[in-house]
Amino acid sequence: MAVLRINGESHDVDLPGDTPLLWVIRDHLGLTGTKFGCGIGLCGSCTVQLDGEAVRSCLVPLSAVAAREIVTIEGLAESGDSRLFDAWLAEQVPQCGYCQPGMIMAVDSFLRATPAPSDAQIDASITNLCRCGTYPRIRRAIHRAARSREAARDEPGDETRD
Amino acid sequence: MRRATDPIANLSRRGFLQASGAFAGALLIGGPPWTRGAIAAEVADPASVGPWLRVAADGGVCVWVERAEMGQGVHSTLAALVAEELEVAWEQVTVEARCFDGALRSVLTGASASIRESWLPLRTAGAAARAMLVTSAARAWSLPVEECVARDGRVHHPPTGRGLGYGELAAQAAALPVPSQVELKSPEKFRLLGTDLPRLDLPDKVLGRAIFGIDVAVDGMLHAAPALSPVPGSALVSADREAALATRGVRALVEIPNGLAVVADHYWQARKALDALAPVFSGGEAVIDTPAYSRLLGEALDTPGLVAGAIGDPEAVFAAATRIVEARYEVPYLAHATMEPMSCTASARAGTCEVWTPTQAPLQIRRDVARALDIDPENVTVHPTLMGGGFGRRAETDFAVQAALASRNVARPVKLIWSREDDIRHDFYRPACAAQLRAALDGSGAPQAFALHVAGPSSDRELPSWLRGAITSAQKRIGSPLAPEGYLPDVVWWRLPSVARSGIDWIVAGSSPPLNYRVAHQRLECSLVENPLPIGWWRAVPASQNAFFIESFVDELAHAASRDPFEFRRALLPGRDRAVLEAAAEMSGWGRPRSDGRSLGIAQFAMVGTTVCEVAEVSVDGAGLPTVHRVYCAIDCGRALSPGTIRAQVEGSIVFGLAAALRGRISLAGGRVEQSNFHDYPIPRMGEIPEIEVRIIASDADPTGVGEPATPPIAPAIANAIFAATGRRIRALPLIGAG
Repeated sequence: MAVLRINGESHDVDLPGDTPLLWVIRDHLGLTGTKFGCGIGLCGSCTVQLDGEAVRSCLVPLSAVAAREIVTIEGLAESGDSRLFDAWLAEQVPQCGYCQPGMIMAVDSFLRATPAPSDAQIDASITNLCRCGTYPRIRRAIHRAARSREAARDEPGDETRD
Repeated sequence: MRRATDPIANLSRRGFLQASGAFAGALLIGGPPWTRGAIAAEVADPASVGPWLRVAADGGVCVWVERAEMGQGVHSTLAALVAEELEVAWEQVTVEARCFDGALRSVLTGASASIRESWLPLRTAGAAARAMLVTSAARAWSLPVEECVARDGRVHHPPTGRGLGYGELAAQAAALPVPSQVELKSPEKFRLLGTDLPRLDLPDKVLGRAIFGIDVAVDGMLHAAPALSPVPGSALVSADREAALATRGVRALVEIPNGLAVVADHYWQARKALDALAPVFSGGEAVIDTPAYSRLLGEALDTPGLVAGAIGDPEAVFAAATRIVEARYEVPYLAHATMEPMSCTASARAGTCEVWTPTQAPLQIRRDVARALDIDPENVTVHPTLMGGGFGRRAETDFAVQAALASRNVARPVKLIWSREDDIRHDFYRPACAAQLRAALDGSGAPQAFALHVAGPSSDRELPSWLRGAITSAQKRIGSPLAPEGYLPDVVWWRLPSVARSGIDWIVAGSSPPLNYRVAHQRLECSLVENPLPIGWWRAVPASQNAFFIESFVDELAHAASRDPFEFRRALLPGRDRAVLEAAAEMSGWGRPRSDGRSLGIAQFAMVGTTVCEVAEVSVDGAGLPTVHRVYCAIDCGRALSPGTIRAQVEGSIVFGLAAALRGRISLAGGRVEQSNFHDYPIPRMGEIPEIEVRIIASDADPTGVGEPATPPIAPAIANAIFAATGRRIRALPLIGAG
């Protein structure tokens, strides 16, 4: 029996330790915002955050996440920085939308480490795949979110998740 | 005459639109779910009429659409067609996917046709509802209808300042007869169409709340993973069924076409059990490996194919020509690789089946599931879900049949999910094709005649491979269909396999004439070369190969004529297409001297009523590898109803075509697809994406398709830029090579 900390809540999970975190999240906890895309860590559709760091949950076994804080897209949507979501909507980024939760989880983690990213930094760090080709808008949304987070930091009293 | 300019739509003909009070206090307007183009609709059966829109008692407007939302944004634009005429605020509108229960007709989403075919019917439905709401307000006030106006979900009477909300009027309006004629708004008065409305589906998609096929949950549901034969039609010769069944959580092993499905309590248990199952397949169709098939395609081009169409007298012009340019091109098989792998949830019980699945073809799902379960199609209900990409792959039904069979076997609902490996190896592929192109040039280098001969595999699925191969090779020898039209009575002829009736495959050859250039003598030929790998619709279908063939070759012709590739095309294009070409060239600074080491390549193509021209700005490094820095794209798709969505579709289509052009390749060895996942069937990441500039040509013509037409020109635009940079003409894709 493992205790999982997901989106601030604890869940008892009785599953083999080699079960990928992706399928624990989707099938056992019913959080379907985290998607299955390739199963070998190449596409990033399954990206969640482990202690704030973006990871590809199809490659993370259940045995590796005990006592670590997991955040999924549902958790970020609930308590994360709404400016990121606002930027995504302002740029009308998604098409089919399937890769977008993973993309947003990766970008949220990236922006906390790199608050004012260059295009080269975005290219090097955001390696998730989007088959619809929304990349130009993703790039614009990242810059937009970075700008609004920057502006918010300059306004005392307006708190961000950081 | 264009129908859009006709302001009056006749609604009463054949009882076309019907109002219904089925929802208490609501006004419902409907029409047949399948209409071609305009109002008229050959569909006369009132039973097929389902509601298109509802104005509820709270004033909310729901638009029901049968077209599939696969990312192209069509749900929002379809809803806007209704909202525009209905005169409601965008915030009042919701949209729901639906598949009309009971009616054995349904819409296939493809060919970039949704907007083209809904442009008049949905606006008419909105206008009819508006007219009924205005009439009911006028009656309530005992005032002349002409003095009442609809705006933002209310009917106003400006002289007296009175107003009533649509919700208050809906019940009375529903009791009125549907008007026999309504006036559609003149497009200059559009308030929603032509603006960038926020898409209705995006908030849920961003927040992780959108339910895709893979996310469906049904009470009591089990999970399934398939073991599919690597060669089409091969047989399972051994499998450790006991070991698989002994795996934790496994409930059953179910025979499905081309394999077995493991059914378990949870998905990962089913996947793990596949390892224990260790299935071994043997035999199967004689799939021809890539090098050998490439040789066969080449041989087929050495002798004449079947003529798919001709204009003018190309034979005579070629015979008399003093200068002929020829070249041979080739493209590989391609997979769709939708981001969401194939999935379906089915619940089969007591002679019925309910299916929840992402699909472009709900009617075909219904038919094929019914056939597999040997039940009446009326007893199959399809719930279309959002889909993680379609691109033509989800016009197929294989995954749904598998889920239905698994569900019936275990007498529980089953959700079946493919692995990425299943998806890459069991697609209905873009055909591998080769082409011979010929042009006869006059003294100034202008083409007088053009011939395109495309060789590729048949997409037929009616016949076994051996029979299809025998028919197509016999037809190739005699140069005609085995059963040409006109020799047999129609009733007999139509029952023959389509391969024998025509010998031409549209998915391979495209349509005639092949050029949108002003060349008076053109011929299109097709040679079908059997290879039993399934073929399907891949975004833009024949244009994905033909644009590469034609637009690369036209570049060769320009070079042969010592003309600038833009000027050469410009001289040959009719007005509207020429304007698109000129726009893209102007955006790119075509002809301006460059000092940045980058070269430009241009290509244009017209399909589904839309013309697109793209200029690729490319540099080539010392190893010969190209980098695409920018793409300039001009598109004429008629009236731009949702400019932001059009731009998104153009950007996405270019990235989709770029992925295929640079590295897209499905190859066959040992009768199997060699690729399996994104490491060997790569799609580009953020850092490989060029900057893309899009210009939408202003137009007041009827809207045309935008989901596909920007994909075909990018491969030849890049290849032409590589030629401009290096003098190296690339006549086979991919440009870089896989992996």
